[in-house]
Amino acid sequence: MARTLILDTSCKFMVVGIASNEKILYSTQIECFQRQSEIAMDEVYKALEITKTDPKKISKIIVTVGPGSYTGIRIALTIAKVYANALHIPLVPISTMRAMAGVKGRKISLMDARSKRAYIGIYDGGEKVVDDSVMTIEEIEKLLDNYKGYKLVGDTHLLNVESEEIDFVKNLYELGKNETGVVDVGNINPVYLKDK
Amino acid sequence: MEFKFRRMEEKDLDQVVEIEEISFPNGGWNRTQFEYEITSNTVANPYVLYLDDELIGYYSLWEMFENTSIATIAVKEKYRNKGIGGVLLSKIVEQSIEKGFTSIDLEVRKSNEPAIKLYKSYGFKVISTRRGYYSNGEDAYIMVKDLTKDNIREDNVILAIESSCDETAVAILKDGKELLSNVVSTQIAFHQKYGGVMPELASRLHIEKITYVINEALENAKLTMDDIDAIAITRGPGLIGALHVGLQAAKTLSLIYDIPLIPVHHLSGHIYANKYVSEFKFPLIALVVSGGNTELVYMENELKFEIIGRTVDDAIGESYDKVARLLNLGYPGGPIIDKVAKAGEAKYKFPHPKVEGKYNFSYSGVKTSVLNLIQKMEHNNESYKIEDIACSFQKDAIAQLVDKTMMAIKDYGVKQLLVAGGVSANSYLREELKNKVPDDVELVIPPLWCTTDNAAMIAKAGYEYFKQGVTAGLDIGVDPTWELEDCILVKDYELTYIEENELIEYGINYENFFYLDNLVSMIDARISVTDDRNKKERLEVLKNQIIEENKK
Repeated sequence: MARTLILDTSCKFMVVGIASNEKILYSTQIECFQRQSEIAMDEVYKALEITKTDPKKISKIIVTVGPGSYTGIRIALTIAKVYANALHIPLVPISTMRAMAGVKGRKISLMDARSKRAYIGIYDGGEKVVDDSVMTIEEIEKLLDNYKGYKLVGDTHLLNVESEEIDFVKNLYELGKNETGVVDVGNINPVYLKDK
Repeated sequence: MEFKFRRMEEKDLDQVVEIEEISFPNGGWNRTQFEYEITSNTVANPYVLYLDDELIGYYSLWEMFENTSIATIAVKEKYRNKGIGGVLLSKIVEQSIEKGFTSIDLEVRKSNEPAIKLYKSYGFKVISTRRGYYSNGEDAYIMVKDLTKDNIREDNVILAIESSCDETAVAILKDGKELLSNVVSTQIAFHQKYGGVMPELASRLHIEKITYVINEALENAKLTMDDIDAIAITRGPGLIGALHVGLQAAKTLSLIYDIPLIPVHHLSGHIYANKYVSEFKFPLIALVVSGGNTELVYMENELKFEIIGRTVDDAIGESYDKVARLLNLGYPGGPIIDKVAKAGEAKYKFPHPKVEGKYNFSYSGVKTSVLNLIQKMEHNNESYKIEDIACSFQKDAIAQLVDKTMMAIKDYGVKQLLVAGGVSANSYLREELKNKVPDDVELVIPPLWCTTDNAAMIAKAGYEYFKQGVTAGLDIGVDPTWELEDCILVKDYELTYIEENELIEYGINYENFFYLDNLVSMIDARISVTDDRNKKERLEVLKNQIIEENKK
């Protein structure tokens, strides 16, 4: 049975999911900022064990590529690249902003980029409206007037708005399940946005 | 002379019983028991060892569920202390592994020190004591050898990954000897414009290159991942973000292919690179010199590192980089200063640093001296040649290194001097050492390809650790400030069964820890989260006991 591995470590969570045939078999989202390196592989192992998935039977990987914590993005993406490369399976890279927005509705994704700045992504039904970027909080506040009816997700506390928890595994699976992905994974690299 | 094993038969019994009586005067087996062993005991495998036509030893190995038990074992008196016990044990281990057993156990008298020592050397651990087990009231030790951890064959293929600084490297080593591939993707060109390694840039380049480097290493070796038996990985020290990439890659491969991870200290890699040139002769001293290190390491035995001298400020490689920058020679400074110095004269003298500690070094002062010299000459409109300054600096820097090293090899009476790290490529250092190392000390210098960071050296050190049974679980983290001296292998010390159970009760599976510092920090973590005062105290006691025993 074809199984998809879903990974994200680009913000404060360690996200691991296993899905198959439109069904999410396993999903975990642990808050563990800056500890992803130690626990990531153990969590993947756990996910495979619980779903009785042979590690070699993973047939596709969906992973976030940033923007986000530089070190964080690289944890999941290193695993995903090395995994997909070893088994010659496709990798579906997805923007973290898009993963936050999900497939439904009009969304503005925000992630704290420190120094009074944030990463911002604007999405409508999972499709980007403008490119992800990094802006100051002030710039974002001004921008919001142009996007009435868009719902804020992610680090909404930056704009003093209450937030809802994002289900990353669900969003990533819905966004990536119909994508063919890339088999030549060598060129898939993090999207840092800042400090180009 | 030829050793021959065969199953014990009726006709061997006269000799066997004679040896048994001499070996175990306080109650060994009698003839009837051996007859039972040969004819009726279905779990028993009694074997005899012949040297040409003489019966010189025997054992009986019982097959019990998952494990085998050594029911009896003895060597003829006049053949003792000649390694025959080892011949018998090797055969027992071989037989047990062949038949798929997971461990071997045995009982031994507490007073039988030579036997206990022999068993330990074959990887048996004391797991418990049986009080008053023998008929004279003596205690017995129960010793066990875990075969699952030990099916470490000497013929294995290790894939090593190194990403601690500015090289993404993967190498494949077969049987500890044959280097099948050694791929290094260097980032030097990217860092050059910054005059040094930029940590974030290094991490970025590692993740960009890692899959290409793995693929190329496998292609060059004409292997697939299915041929790999274990993965050696640099766990530290180094740049944290850079180490993460290599470690995650290693863990991923370990998970997919269900093969063990071997955590390796970067400097132990540099030291073991010398094994590509020569076998080690202990005791030895390794002079570790690179952009980040200047250390004298004393080794009494395999994988036992004691730092006897180190830089109190800059590393020697760092001072080369800084002086090269002062002379506008670019980065990295080592090779270029070495080259330029050849065309110069050592005209200038620099003040010698006063350093505390007999074998310690200091390299921060010399760059200031060079700067002062240049400023002074420019101020006086004196003409000078960069070559002369480079030559003077190099002579001074290397003299400090060589003088202290010569003192250390004399004081410690070592058989070998190993040179390790990037600066070991320096031609003047090589020449000076060749001239100054006394004849009775063997000088080992790594081949040039192995002086800078690479994974071949990590594979070589990894092979040694793997032979000792050192592997790590998927929850291992990187350690950017890992000290070489903290790479003490926990397995040097046997916990009693009770102590081990106590630790397990506190959530610490002793078996999962191979390096002492990891185990100690785990115990510390448990102490900090426990409210129970008695438990806290007991853990402290266990921790100190473990540290003491391991440091012996």
